[in-house]
Amino acid sequence: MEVEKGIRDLLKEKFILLDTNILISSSKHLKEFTDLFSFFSTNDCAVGTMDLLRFEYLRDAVTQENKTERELYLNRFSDFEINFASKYIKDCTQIGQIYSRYNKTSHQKISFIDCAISSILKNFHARLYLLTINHDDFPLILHDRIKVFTLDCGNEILNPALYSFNLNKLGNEIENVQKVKEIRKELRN
Amino acid sequence: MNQNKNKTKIKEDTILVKLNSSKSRINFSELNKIAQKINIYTELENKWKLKRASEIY
Repeated sequence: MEVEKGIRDLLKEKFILLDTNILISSSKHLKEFTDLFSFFSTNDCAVGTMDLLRFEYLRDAVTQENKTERELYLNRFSDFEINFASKYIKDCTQIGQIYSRYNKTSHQKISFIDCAISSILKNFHARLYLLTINHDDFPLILHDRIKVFTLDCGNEILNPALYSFNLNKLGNEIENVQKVKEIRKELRN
Repeated sequence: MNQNKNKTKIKEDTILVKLNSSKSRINFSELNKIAQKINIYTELENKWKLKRASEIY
């Protein structure tokens, strides 16, 4: 797989968190995903998951056999697993509130699990990247899209992308709220 | 190795609950066998879900 040197250097020895959609798509199209996972492996990246993503992936298995195989699949290529702790709830809420400012309707709300992933990315921003194909769930108001890969899977083309959390963007969003408060104060006076 | 140092750092943050640090490469042939089973089970389950839904509604 051809990946620019800058991206290779950036990802060297980093942690890659796999979103549920990547787990589902990769088991369907493992042949097409092999190059991508091999790239992470040769670049000394650790590939892993998170307890909430494990839940999302396993809950669709109706039978015990499917659940067992899915657990095996997760365990075979997970180098690490992140545990979502209550200490991240504050960040998770703040991220959800920022998204709410941009939502036109309530059904556009980004799910709790996606806010939780972002809060984890925030806390490990220098070392942890997310691989996902649901681009709308990780808006660029808080994230950076580092690299988009294109996988030709025959009847569908998948574009998994790597995202990181941008602390400067979060700072700007917080600052914007402060500005709104100041404007309100001025208007009242 | 830096990779191990990084992993240790994350472990210190007490968020890491599982670590396969000894594993260096993914065994794709083994993974493929598991993926094939998942696809078969998922397809069967989806058929069962559709059949069940048609019986209910």
